[in-house]
Amino acid sequence: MIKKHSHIIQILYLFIISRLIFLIFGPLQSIYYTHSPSLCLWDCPWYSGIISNGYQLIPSGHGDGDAANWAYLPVFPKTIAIVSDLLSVPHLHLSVAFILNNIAFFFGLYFLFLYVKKEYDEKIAMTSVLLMTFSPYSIYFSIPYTESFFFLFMILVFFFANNGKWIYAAIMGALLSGTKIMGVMIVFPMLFMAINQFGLKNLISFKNDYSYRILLSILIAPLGLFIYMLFLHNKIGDALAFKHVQIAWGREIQNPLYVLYNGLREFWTYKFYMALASIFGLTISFFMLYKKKYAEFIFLIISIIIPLSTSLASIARYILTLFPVYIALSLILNNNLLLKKFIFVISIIGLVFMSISWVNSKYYMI
Amino acid sequence: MSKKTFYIILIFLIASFEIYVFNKILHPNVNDHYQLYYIDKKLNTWSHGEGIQYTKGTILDDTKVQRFLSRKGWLRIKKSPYLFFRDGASIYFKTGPVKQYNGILTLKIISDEFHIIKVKINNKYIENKIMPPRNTDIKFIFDKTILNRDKVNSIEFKLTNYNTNLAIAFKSLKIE
Repeated sequence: MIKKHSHIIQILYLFIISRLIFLIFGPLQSIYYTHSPSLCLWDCPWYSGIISNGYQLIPSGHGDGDAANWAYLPVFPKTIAIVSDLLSVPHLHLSVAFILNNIAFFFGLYFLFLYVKKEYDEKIAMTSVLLMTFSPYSIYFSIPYTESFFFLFMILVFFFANNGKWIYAAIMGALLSGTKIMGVMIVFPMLFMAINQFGLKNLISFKNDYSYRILLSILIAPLGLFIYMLFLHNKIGDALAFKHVQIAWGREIQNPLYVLYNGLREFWTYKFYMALASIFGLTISFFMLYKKKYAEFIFLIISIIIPLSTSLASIARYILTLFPVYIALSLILNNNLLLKKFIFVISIIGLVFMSISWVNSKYYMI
Repeated sequence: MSKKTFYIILIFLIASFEIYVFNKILHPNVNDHYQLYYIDKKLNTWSHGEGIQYTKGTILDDTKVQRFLSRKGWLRIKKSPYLFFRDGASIYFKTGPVKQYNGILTLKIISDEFHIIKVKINNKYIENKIMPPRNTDIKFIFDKTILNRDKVNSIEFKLTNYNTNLAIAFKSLKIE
């Protein structure tokens, strides 16, 4: 009992220290220098708009007036709106988002620990938590973005599915698919986990209850996105409006290899850095394949290839907020204490850099 | 009720709901402007309330034609007052339920090179012309038999046997 609690306390310490680094070098230094801390930047005003006014009927955003908030799925902003209303503080919805995101991040870390501990051991589990907590990209788990909810629901899908609780996993999958478009892809890792647990032959024979339970889970998981699509059809007349409106962000389907190649050609620019992040993500994906972690591999590869098929924008954020990346890093660093320490120090420096960059509205933080 | 029956009922209900939403995906209920800009990705500009409705009698010159232009095929050259076209350049517009249509489409010749210009209105070729000398206008005249009254009209421009994209420019379109 005491040991079980000691893990939570250890994770809580890591969480508090990492968030203090973000707060001190981010919002607090911003208060000191500018007296107006800015947490709501880039995509955040879109969420803020949904929380305050709901979804738009007619596009009006960006210079060309063709952007609309349909691109942002409802689970995160609507949860914030409901909680803000319940607490009677709708005007403080950004603070509510900040608090809820941090709570979600903490619980996500705890379930990450439990999941990795069961799959590997305690040491790798704690290293995964440590690396994820102090990752430079962990600032996205604290600001009003969807990353924190996405992480929590994603790890809960893996955790519940891994423990045979498929209906819980499916419900978390439904929340995940209503949080980000990529969330709907969770059905593929779920399928792999089911095949791993029961065997393909047993599953498709439909002789046991679990075959039906798995099929039901696979159907429940994308419901979040399906419900949102029905909402969009009723409101705008286009169930795929969230996809079609991407034209306003310049996202159009292209060959991912071509996108990657173009990024690599532009040395030391934002695109080049994003291309490097993509290569890093792809390498990590294949490492998970090598380790026969098929569910993690499939989710990583889909989560990289699909955004890469449109543009390099924000791809480092998409990759470095996925938990399997940190499990893979822990496995790689497992027997190399010196390298582990080095990566940890680099991560902290990166976290400080990203915190300062965020409050200074640097373009690469988008 | 057994667990298995309960699962089968749920599977049936959820699958039916998802098929229903799939059907909605395949049948969007949007106006032509939205369809052309967001779904078909054919239109260059999202022009809000104005859409692609053409007001009878208006002269669309290169300063007013912007919201009717296709995403692809048009070329603006710095310091040149002309709007050039290349393969795939189109203009989309709706006329509304008017009874008479007499249209004049005017293009301007910029170079002396030999060209064949093909203009298709609603997928019907209206004329092919061999290029006259530089700085003259070519006029394409069409009537009500070729335009749609309720649907979107498209005028597509094509050059064949060309060496350069800068030979012919759009000048104006007028329908009355």
